[in-house]
Amino acid sequence: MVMAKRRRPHSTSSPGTKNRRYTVDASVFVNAFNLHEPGHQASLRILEAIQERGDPVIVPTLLVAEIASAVARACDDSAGALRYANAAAALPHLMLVALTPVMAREAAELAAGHRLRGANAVYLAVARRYGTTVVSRDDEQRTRGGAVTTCQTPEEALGDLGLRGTL
Amino acid sequence: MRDLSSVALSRRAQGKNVGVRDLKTHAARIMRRVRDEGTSFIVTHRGRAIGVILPLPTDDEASRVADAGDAATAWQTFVRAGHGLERRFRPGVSGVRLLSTTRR
Repeated sequence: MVMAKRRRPHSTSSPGTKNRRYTVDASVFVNAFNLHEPGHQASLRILEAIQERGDPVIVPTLLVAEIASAVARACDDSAGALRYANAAAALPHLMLVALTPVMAREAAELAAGHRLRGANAVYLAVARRYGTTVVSRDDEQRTRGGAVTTCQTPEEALGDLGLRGTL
Repeated sequence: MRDLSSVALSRRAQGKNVGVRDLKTHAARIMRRVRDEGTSFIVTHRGRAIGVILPLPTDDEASRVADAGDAATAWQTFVRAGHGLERRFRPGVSGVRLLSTTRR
C-alpha cells in the first residue's frame, strides 16, 4: 500500500530560521521611526518580522529607560517618548529581564573581560545567558560583543531570515 | 555511575556539556540545576553538541509588562506610538548617536 505523505504547510521563511531568539538593542527601537536617520526601514522591518514570526525577544529592563531617554532627546517630546517606550515594553513575545545581583556580576565579568561599556555588557549578559542573537545599531556593541555572542545589524538579521529583499 | 559533579555548575557557568546518556540517567538532577541555579547545558551525542537546555527567567527575574493576549493590538499600539514620533524627530539629530553618547 502506498500512502501519500502529508505535506507541511509552506513556510515563507528560509530553512533553518526556526527557533530564533533575539536581544534587540535600544538603538534599533530608537532608529525604527526616525525618518531622518539611515537604516530606519530595516530597523522597523526586523521588529515587524520578529513580531510576525513570534520569536522570543529577551532584553534587559534597561531597554525601556534607554528608549525613553534617547527618543526624548532626539525629538523633544517627553510624553511621546514615554508612550513609545512603554508600547515597546508591552510588545508581545518581549520578555524583560531584571538586573539581579547575579546578572549584574555576569555583566561585570563581561565588561571587564571584553572592555565593554556598562550598558552594552548588560545586554550581552542577557544574550549570553539566554542564547540569543543581539540585533543592534550600536557599532561598538556589535564589534566587541561579537566575542560573546552573535551580533547583527538589522540588515544582517533580515538577511539571515531570508527577508533582505522585503525592504 | 558517573559522578555528576563533573556537570555541577555555578550559577554563572555557561553551556557545560552533558552527554545524552548522563542526561537520561540524571535528568531530574540536571533539571533541578536548570530550575534552581539557572544553569544551562549543552547536550552532546558522541561528543558533538546537538542541543541546549536553557533556564527560563523566573518570576523575580523577568516579567511581561503586558499580557500577550492581544498581540495584534499591542503591535498596533507600538506602531501608532512610533508613527506619532516621526515628525517630531529633528533633522540632523541621530537618536542612535545620542544613545551611544549616553552609554559612554
